[in-house]
Amino acid sequence: MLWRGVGLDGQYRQTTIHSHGDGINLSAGTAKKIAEQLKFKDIDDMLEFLNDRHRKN
Amino acid sequence: MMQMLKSGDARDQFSKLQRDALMGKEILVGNGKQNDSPFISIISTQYLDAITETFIFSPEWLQDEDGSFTVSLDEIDVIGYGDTREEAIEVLATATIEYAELYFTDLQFYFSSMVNRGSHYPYLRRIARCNGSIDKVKQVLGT
Repeated sequence: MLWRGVGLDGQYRQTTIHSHGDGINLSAGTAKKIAEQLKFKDIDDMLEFLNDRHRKN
Repeated sequence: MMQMLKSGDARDQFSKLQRDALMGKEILVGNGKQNDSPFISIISTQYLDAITETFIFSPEWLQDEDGSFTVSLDEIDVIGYGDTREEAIEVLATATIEYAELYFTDLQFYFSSMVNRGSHYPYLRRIARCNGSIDKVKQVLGT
């Protein structure tokens, strides 16, 4: 399924999230690609965003 | 020079325009009432298919240490992934079909300066021409 939207910076983003029921761990390569598509600096930047509910960008 | 017609004239001679288009001509049809009104093109689907078939997908593969696969299409910024190559291709093809459907539903949005994905048009037209067939899409993607 495609997830898409416009960030607070006005940039459009789009990525593929494949449903796996209860969830699986993403491989590093896939996570890196998703981070690139969502315009994070790197995987660590994306993880920081996901873990920090107060972060806006 | 390309033939340019007002919409009323095009309507009156549509059968002839169809024959001309099938012979390879592109006919531009405008409103005629305003000088700056946009034109549409009447062009043979066969020729348009031939043009878009020159836009080739080049899937890039990555295999992780855990053996799983990620495949990406930089031409249209879509990825697929899975435990096997087949699963990754399935995810990729499904996501690509979904993207093509969204894209052609809201073309102005994707051509807007904010989104700037007009370059995806010929690639996604190839996907749209598969009419939802995953097998045909996989062939087009070169997977």
